[in-house]
Amino acid sequence: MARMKFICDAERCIECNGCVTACKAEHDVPWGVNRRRVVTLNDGEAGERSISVACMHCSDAPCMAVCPVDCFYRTDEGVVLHDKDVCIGCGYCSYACPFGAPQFPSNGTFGMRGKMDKCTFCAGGPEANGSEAENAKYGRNRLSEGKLPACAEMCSTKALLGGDGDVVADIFRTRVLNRGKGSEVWGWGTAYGKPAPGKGQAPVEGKKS
Amino acid sequence: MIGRAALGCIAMAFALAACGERTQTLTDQKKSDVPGWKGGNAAYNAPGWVASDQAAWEAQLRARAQSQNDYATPATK
Repeated sequence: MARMKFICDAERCIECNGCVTACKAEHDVPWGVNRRRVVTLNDGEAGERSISVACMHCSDAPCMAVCPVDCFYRTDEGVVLHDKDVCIGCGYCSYACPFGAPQFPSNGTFGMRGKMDKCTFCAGGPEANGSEAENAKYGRNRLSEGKLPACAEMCSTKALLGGDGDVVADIFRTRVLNRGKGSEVWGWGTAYGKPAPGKGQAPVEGKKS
Repeated sequence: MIGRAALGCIAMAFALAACGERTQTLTDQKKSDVPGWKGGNAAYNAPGWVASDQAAWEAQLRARAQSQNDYATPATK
């Protein structure tokens, strides 16, 4: 199996916040913490685009690199998780993360920062799979139930894709090939630059771009 | 005399105690995680796979991911 990944199709996201709601409901996330949120670019202008953002479960995660107590770990499927019993709530991961994924509940005394909370790709934490302790600290462990993240499965327009990286990449590529555009809006084109004029051939079916 | 020597020993023990240093090496405190394919709460398991069968779990997730694919044929969906 490849690594678990999310990708959001900006051509399809309608900023309904269904993914945000699904996540909050599924994991009973406390007030003030949003593991996932929808960001809109050029809001209110023609051609505005929205994308759903959460932890991207980076291959070389900066949060893991900066954590002074080494509370992060990566599962065999590439999901970046952390141990809340080890976390000291220092907030370094929050500064390091380019996506603003780490969240901190701040409803304690004098706005005290609590243990870090973030998207778990619905894979829970180090406690026993599906246990009450895991559910209380990290939310539901859907992967151990043979399910995919609630946000992706609940997405009404199927803009947010989640699952095996090879599978979601294939789904996204098929869409782009069928509609003839999209990768330049958000995806590989954005990350690695647009193809030179006249050389903008779509990738051959079955080959990764 | 003996009392004074004992008192000196005790004082020395207190004084030298400050020279001791506790290890500050970061130990691996993290709990080990059980892989998802080993299953969790069976009451909520999606049908179509058996816990502890890694291949079945991976096939289940791949098949489930196809529900996000509008272009999938009904057979693969």
